[in-house]
Amino acid sequence: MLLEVKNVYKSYKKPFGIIKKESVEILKGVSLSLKEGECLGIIGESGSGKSTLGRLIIGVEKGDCGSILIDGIDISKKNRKVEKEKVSVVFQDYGSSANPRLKIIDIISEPIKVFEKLSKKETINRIIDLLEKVGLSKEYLYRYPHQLSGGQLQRVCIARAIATNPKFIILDEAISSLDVSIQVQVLDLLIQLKKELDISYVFITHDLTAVTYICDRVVFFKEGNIVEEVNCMNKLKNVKSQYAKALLHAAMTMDSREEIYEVQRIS
Amino acid sequence: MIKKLMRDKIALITLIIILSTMLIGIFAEEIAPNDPNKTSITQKYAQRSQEFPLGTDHLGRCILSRLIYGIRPTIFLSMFTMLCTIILGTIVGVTAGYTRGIVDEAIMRIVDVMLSFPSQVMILAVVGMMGVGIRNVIIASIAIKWAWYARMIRSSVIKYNDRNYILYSKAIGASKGFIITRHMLPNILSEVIVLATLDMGWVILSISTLSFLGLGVQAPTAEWGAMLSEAKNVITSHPKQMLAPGFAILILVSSFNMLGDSLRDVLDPKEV
Repeated sequence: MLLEVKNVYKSYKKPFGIIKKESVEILKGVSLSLKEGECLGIIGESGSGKSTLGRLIIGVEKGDCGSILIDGIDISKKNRKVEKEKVSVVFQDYGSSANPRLKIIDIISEPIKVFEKLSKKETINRIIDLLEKVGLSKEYLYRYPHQLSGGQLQRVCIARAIATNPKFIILDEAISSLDVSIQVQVLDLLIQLKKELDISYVFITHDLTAVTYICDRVVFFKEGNIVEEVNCMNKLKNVKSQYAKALLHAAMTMDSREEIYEVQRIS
Repeated sequence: MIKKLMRDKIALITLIIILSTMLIGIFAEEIAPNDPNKTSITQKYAQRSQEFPLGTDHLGRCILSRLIYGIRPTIFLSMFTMLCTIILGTIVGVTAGYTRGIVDEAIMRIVDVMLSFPSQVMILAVVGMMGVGIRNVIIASIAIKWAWYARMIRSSVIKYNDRNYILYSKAIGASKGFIITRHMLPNILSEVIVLATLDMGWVILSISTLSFLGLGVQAPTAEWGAMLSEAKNVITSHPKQMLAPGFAILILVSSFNMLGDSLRDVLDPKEV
């Protein structure tokens, strides 16, 4: 197992009155696993705790109890630089994913500097290589993030994420703030990278169509719990839980509506 | 960045004014036409002449020379004060913002205490306690100002701490020092520099004010505020005496303020 999440709980303290603090449970005993070369979709509504789970996996925050294992090693252990190298992340908000004061070359060179000791020339070659992998030419090297479009910037973020040769990447709503046409391009890029570099994805989203496009397995997330797990995408229609059904139904009616619009536009 | 600064005319002019003033201050010995402290009772309140380009004061000292020598305490002491304030404020602010928890609470309560005093009164109190002199004025100014900077820097640190690029750095396990020097400080310092240039005017005025009151720079050292203070005694009979130091302070302080305004635009990376 590449990634194992076992019975993880997480709660935040929210101010309640002046002194009292109320604790709000975000994750209530979540367990899931990710095999190598697999793409796991985590789907759920806003506030269901899916992004919190992502933050726990990348180690920015710590869970209250339960354990997260990467390659069988608990990430809460101290000496975990090796584990850090195995996981990477791409965020939803590409605008704040890159430091606006740094050039693209500096943004991508950051993980290379942290993990590898390369000479300047090697680093630049490496970065050009990475940019080519995500479909950007080397003319972008010396631009600033605000000079790039959203899709291009998200590609830069993906390039940065694969710079460390990670085993798996957390995609936290990575395509949600892009245009639909760009979304497809980025998804295609992700699928291609998965084949080339043999990476796994944890794809956190609220968009069911994107999940069907890229994922091998889906878990439905609601109020900090996994309500249903679908292991084969063809069986997606056979979901049992109320929430998954509702979600699927909503997506399907939207699709059919789109078809109607399409017909109207053509006629 | 320098290119952007060059394109901004106001920034360029103010920068030239400030830099040339500093240069004149550094080379005061070579430039000043007369000894600033040489008195001559027969020459007092002299009109403009070849020997005294701006006339003389009530002791017959060359006003231009005093103005030039006065640059040193005025600008360099203010810059020194600002620098110390920023360094102290940054260290305290980053510590508080980055550690959070009890350390943060403790530091912020101290800051609250410092902020609750009116600044000029506090400076007067410190000077009253520690004695008259420019050194104590500077210590008092730093003691008053650092709290403002600490509070501002702390809130920026907290703001940037949630940015995705810092989350990413944390996720890949970059060290705290790396994150602070590479991501935090460039963002924070550009905000601080703007505030610092605006505050520079305040510090110059503050040192001049205290010298005017006779608490800062002591006679016979030339300082613009002290010169104003001396000129004030003869304001009815020789009002022109106020002009030279008054205009010098006005131009320098407004240069710093306008430079601060322009820097805000120049340092914003999104501004093309």
